[in-house]
Amino acid sequence: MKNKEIVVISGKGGTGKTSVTASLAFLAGNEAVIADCDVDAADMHLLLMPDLAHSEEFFSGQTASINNALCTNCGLCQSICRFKAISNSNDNYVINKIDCEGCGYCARICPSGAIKMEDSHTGSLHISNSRMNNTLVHAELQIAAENSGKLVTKVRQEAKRIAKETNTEYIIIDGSPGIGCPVVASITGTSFVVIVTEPTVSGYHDLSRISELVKKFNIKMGCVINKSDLNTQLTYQIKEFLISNNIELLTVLPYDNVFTKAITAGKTVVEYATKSVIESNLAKCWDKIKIGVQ
Amino acid sequence: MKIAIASGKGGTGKTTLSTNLAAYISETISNDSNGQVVLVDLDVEEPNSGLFIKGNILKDEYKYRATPVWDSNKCTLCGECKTVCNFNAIAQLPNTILIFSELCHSCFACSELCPEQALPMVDKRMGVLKHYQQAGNLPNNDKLTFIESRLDIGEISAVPLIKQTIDYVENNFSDEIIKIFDSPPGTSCPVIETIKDADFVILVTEPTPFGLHDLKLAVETVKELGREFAIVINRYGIGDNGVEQYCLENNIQIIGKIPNMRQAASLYSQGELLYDKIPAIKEQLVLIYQAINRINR
Amino acid sequence: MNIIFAVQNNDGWDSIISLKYGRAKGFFCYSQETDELTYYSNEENQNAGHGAGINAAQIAINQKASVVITGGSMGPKAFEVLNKANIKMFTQAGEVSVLVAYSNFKDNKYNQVLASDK
Repeated sequence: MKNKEIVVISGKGGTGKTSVTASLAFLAGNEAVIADCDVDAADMHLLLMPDLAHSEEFFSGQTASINNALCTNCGLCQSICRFKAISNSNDNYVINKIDCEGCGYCARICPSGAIKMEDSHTGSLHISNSRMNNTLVHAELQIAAENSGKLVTKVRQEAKRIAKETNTEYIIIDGSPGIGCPVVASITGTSFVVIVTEPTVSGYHDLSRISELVKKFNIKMGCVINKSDLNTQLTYQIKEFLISNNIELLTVLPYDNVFTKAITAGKTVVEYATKSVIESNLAKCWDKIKIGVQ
Repeated sequence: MKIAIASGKGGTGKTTLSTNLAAYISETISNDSNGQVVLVDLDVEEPNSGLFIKGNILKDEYKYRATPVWDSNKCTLCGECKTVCNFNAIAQLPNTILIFSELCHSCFACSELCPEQALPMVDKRMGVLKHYQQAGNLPNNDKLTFIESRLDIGEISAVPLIKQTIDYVENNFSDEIIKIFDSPPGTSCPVIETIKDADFVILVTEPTPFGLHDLKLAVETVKELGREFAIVINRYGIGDNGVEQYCLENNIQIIGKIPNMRQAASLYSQGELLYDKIPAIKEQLVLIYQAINRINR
Repeated sequence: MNIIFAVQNNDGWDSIISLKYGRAKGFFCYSQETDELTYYSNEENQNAGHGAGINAAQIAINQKASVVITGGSMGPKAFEVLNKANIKMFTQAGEVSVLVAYSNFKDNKYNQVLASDK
């Protein structure tokens, strides 16, 4: 079956990316496997209420540790550490795990072999059944972990494997914010990128940055303009931007506190605001996306 | 005095608070000649404060990090560099050493352990720092300085640029001056780098289940780093009282509740500051500033 | 010449070709001169943050391979290293056995990639 991976990103936080993704997950039902790749602040499970069927620990990179029994307090490790991760008090040398970059230089040059490198526990990955009749693959990073995009890649791989095994047509990915490695890992190899934006100067600024990045990957793009009536002039400018950059306008959603009411009630906005313009716009949006990935 | 403004979740209002607080404080501090506020935008992947705070550019400098270059004349192709690099940034071809500087973490191991000194470290550009004076709404306001750093697209880590920007601020401004650090979102390395030496961390959240969930992660992070902190609830009035309950149960101080107002959202959308146009918001900044002044330095 | 196959498991000629190159579970190196098929684990790259492709390419270089065959795409870093080492790359072989892949290769069914196809 052809790859029909759809990723939802936003550049800037707070535009409504997770609300839109959760709504698409609801509309898709068992036609899609859902992947939450926003691993630094994973929230999809709050709306999808998964049952945590399977969890596994995830390791990436390394951290140094000093065996004080072997340490002769020569201080060589501290003198070469570029990350100021080694401190000593009363000749007791200690590695600060938060600052340790895992380069292994100290372990290599320790004359007494007192320093060991260990794989770092970076996060946890879960595969769950959501309340929407689909599978949710999600993960969270440990605090102060490096978000290299590797955990994002792992989440996507699992989602792909499950989609293949269950003959599920679509994969919907809640992407990472920003423009760095985790976003790149979220979008690479997908068939359709949905950008959720808002008519604010920040939103517009980040829309242009993120669409520049996506263009490099040559993937079809669509855009949802959320909170559109907040600033009609900017909404108009964004629409012009989309046209000149060959980005499909998927739908436009109003600035409405029903989004927050829905989250607070533990529901997606399409469940909460039934028979509303918002619901029908999101349903049409999903239809357009399905056509877009053909 | 370093105040970091962070959040677990993106989009809660860090930049809104940082910019408005910095501008408000700069207008409020007495005409003591040392009185100054420095706003530093450390969300180097997506710096947005500059959309709200304008000033006169004083300095514009590239920032660099060290990466090795291969000196083929000295190299004996022993392969030690490839062995010591823990980040796969070095490949050894039959007659060449290939360096992937985008993967280099600047640990210096290969350079210093090369028996032939064939990998000297050189500077590689990673981003730009801009220093603005007389920033903010009031004309000729010498009390507000704005520093913005922007990471080059393609750079893997924000951490070195954040670190160098903080060093720049510490070298150019004395300790008593109030520095407001607008942090990146989340709780991973760039945020840690931003907040780990802050005198006080303000966590901005929204009163919804998403906000609460991510706030808990942020609180755990701040506690892990041993930082003094408090909460500001933005868009107060929407959602539920879950955040307030959580703060009450965990003895966490809420030092400001910025009301949810469409007018505020609208002004924000246009790139405007809020406190000078909305009294209810200014009131909250007054309270937040008072809380900041109560911190033991 | 020596040929490298990126694989998902260690089962000799029946091993299945891996869709990933950098994070393949392992590699088989087949020497046409000696008719030996040797397995190299890629275990250490499973945990690498970045640059798994570079390290994986290094394995091919260390074995003095002339050809690399993989089931999916070749990432840009692995491509760069192998290209500079003048090692020919054949991608998109699919999840077939090493035996089938070798046979297809000999029958010129695979196209050599001249640019990273990721």
